Amino acid sequence: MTYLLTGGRSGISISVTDINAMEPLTPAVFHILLALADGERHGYAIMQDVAAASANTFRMGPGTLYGTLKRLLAADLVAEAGEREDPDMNDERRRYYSITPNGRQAVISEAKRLESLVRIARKKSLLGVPAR
Amino acid sequence: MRIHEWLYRILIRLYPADFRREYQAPIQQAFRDQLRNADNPVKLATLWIWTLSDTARSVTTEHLERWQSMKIAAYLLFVTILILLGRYELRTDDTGMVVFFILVSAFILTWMNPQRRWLWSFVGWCVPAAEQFWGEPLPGLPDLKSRLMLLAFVTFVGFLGSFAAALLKRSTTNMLPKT
Repeated sequence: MTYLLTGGRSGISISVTDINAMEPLTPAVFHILLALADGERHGYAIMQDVAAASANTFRMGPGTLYGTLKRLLAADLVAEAGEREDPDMNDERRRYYSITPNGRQAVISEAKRLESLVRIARKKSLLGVPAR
Repeated sequence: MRIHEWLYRILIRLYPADFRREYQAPIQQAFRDQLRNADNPVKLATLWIWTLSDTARSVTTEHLERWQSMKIAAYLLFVTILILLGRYELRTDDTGMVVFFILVSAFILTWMNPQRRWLWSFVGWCVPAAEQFWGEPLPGLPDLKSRLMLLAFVTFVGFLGSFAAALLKRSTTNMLPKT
């Protein structure tokens, strides 16, 4: 299965052939997939979820958000879920997105990778008392 | 609020046309949502600083991505131009022009594809190749030894041009914002 990720500092897309062998997801990709893991969201809701989940340490503007969504759609990690009104937000019609099975697998793989890194950091007492 | 939306609509014009066609409406909508929450001058100023930074970063990324996809067509066009310029360069019979032509060609090709900079070092070979093709031997090169020296010279110049481009590309790539 092939898909595109934005990797590295240049933001240039790279292609890989195996989800499990892929390079780390960029923060924007990871946060968007995390936000969609709970269910369908429109763009502004994704931005709010990301800001809340990261305690405002990571924020995305509309340009970064939709550029990343475009690449995630091309990579089949995210799918469009139609347009409808959001009653919590002045009833404007909004474009919704959902995570695909590939996207769910990608975010799980990335979370596991980060978990193993945290485990290593804990063993080295970089995060306070090492876990037993 | 309308003036802020109008200003943002002007910023959106910086994105590539196909990106605007697809995402202009939701991008403007998200900005409007952010504007509603910016209910005092400080929040508004912060929003604009953030928006300008986000736009600069994402516009650069979108344009760079399109540049990547046009590479093959750009290579073919550039090689064609190189061959034609090689023909012109032969007529000038000027070493300075030879060096300039090879340096610029190697630089541009390496900028487009730094991974193949060793290949682009040989772009200067189009000069003696064009000479063979168009049947106009360069003066002062009657024997094999002098022709081999010419090949070594053009390879060295090509290497200089591609090496300089690779260095500059690496340093400018590191300056681009993350996505």
